[in-house]
Amino acid sequence: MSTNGKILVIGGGISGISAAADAAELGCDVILVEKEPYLGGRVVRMNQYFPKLCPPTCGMEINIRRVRQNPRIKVYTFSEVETISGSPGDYTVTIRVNPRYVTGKQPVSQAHIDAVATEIPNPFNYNMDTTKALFIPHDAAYPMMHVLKKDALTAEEGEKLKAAEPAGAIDLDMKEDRVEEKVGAVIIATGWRPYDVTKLENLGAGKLANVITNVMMERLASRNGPTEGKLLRPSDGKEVANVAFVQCAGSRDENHLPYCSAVCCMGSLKQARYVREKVADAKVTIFYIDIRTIGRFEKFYYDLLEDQNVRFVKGKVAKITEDPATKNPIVEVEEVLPGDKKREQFDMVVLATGVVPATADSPVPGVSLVYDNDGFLVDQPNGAGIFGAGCVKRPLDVSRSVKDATAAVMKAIQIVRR
Amino acid sequence: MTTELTTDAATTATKTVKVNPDLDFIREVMAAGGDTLKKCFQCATCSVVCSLTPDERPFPRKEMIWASWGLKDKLISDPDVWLCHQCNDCSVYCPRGAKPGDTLAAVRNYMFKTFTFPSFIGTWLSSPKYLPLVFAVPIILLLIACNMGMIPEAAGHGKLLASQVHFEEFLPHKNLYFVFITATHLAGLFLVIGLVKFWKVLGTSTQTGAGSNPGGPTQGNIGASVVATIKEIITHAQFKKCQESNHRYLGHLGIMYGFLLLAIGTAIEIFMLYALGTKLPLPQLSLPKILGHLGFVALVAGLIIVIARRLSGKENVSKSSYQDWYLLLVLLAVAITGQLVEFVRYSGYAGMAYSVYFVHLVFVFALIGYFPYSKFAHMFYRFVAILHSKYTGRDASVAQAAA
Repeated sequence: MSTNGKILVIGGGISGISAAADAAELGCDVILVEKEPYLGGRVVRMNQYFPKLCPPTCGMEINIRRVRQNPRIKVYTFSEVETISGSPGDYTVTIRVNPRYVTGKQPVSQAHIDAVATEIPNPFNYNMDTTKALFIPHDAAYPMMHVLKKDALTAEEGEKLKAAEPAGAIDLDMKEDRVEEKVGAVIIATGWRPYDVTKLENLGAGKLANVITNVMMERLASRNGPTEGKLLRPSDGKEVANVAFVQCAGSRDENHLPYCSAVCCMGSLKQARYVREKVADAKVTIFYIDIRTIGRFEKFYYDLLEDQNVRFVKGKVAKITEDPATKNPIVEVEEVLPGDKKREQFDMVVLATGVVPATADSPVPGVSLVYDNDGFLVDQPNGAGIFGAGCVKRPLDVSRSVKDATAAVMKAIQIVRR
Repeated sequence: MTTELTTDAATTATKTVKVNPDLDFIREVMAAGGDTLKKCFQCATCSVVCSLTPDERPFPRKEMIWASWGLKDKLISDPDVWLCHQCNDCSVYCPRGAKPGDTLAAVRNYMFKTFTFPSFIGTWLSSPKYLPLVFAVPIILLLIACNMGMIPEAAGHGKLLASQVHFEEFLPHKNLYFVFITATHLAGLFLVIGLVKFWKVLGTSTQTGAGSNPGGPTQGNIGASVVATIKEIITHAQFKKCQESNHRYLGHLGIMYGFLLLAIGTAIEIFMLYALGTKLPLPQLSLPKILGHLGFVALVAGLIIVIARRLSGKENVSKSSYQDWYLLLVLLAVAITGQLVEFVRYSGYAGMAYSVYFVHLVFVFALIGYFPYSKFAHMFYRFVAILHSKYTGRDASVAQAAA
């Protein structure tokens, strides 16, 4: 059987980057495809991540350097795999490279930036603030390149951009490109997205100003986030002094996600610490069904139990409304012990929304793979050349995703080295 | 059974909690429509989305764990089981498909089955396998009480005028009364004994929260509590609060008022018959007839709403138990055969009239002959439980929750 020595890695988050770097360091040629215009996925949007509570600039920076410096890795950002065909050892892959309208041949100058006035919702900050339509996705982006959201431009801005010096930095006529690559094995590391809060109608359906999601909380707490790391609530920019965390917002719920998303308890405990560290005397309440902290993370939980300002309430929040005057969210819950129904007001509520695999709504195109009922990828039996890594297979934290990526590389190498 | 549960948060951690589950009770409740109850993981979504529960010691989360643990005494003495109107908001939002609404209904079914002496009749009414027996009793009694010879005889006559149909001769009223009054009065006596027992056990378990709101509007005043209970029932004030299954409110309203109109019409007819000596059949424009026809329309309309909704693929939210279907279908059969009797009588086929009358009476017996043991009894248990909640002040927090 002829094998092609290359490995395709789909997805440039922590799992994909780890897989690409591991495979390349073992001597394989790697093609890394990421649909966002930068690498880093969900992890670069965190404020801190487990297990050591590093900011992503720390661990992520090392991994991105491994990718950047290794000549065996070819990175396609702002690109998507359109089809995969062939068989283990010999796959043909079509990659669509979306137009950035920024060539990279000439630097984007201040004149270009001044030419664009239009602001667009900033996807990096989960639309909590805006950014110019000509923007660098974030301050540690790789590649460190602007992206132009051409659709958002006015005609006048287009003309100004064309006139701006140096010419050739922006190409408004750039078309999407298609590239064909031959690979021997594929690692799918397309990761996850947070559960859609608009489906949680009893929790405000994303319409209450001061009810945010856990991923948004990471951005609020980040120095490069919309509030420069200050915990200011969306409705009026007031610093929050009383925050509620609502666990299992969608997870462990047959009407939404029937499974436990595994990382949200740790996430909320971590975020409770953000509140306690950033705002003096702030109060935190965590509403939960069960606190699930596995292994040594149990200690993390016990440490927080010691904190007098952190209250744990057993009882699932099943209704959130809003005080119209103050915009304070009102949380409704039965505190199981002792068994009383309560309505409590907070400055802000953080929903611990769950993990949805990217493949839940967009399966890998061109090949028939096995997914479970919730859209998670199930690794193929022996002989297949396509492997999952990270959160596309099940909800995982960063360290487990990295280990899973290494495991996927080991499997892929057995195909390409046959 | 030794259950020393405490809900005092401060002491829970240190106090030993001993649970002796009544496994047979769990099996019974699961068989009576609560088969999903073990899926509950006590998240308390149900208590939050319930529009009817008081804030203090809300239901149905606590009932779910009692059912799961087989704490029969707690459930039997829990008035909250009867404050639930099975809106099923809880079952819709339940993240586990544990269906608290169905579980509470199953506990109520368990009560119909076991609470009233002699409980073997409750067993008959709890499962379709006893259905032949349930119907054999009225058929045999009525066969003895009727002049069955009149059926072929009347058929031989061909057409008969309505005035020539003599139900009195077919089934002499003294026989009719002997069968029905004996059966219903005996059943009624047992029910009253059962209800007294029910009133005594209500609120005796520690966690029901009964009396948790001293100073409620009707607390301690039995007269005012009765008035408030009747008012709540005639207005369906609580039922109206259901979110997910608002149709049930409308359907139940129709059934209840239809039944009441028919009952009042019958009472007036009996009064006219014996006190005023009025001859039967009554003219169409007499008060009992008008009330009866109005009642028939309301009853059947209500039944159609309820039956149609139960059939229309709402299975994932709630499923109907045998006791539900028994009551609904027997009620429907009583209404339809009752109307048929009149229709056949005026159409002039007397032989048919006697047969249909016979069938009608069999269904009437199935409805009221066993009333303390079928779901028919829900009105009495519910009345007592609502009365208890008004009398003990538990109701105050219901009002407060709605505000």
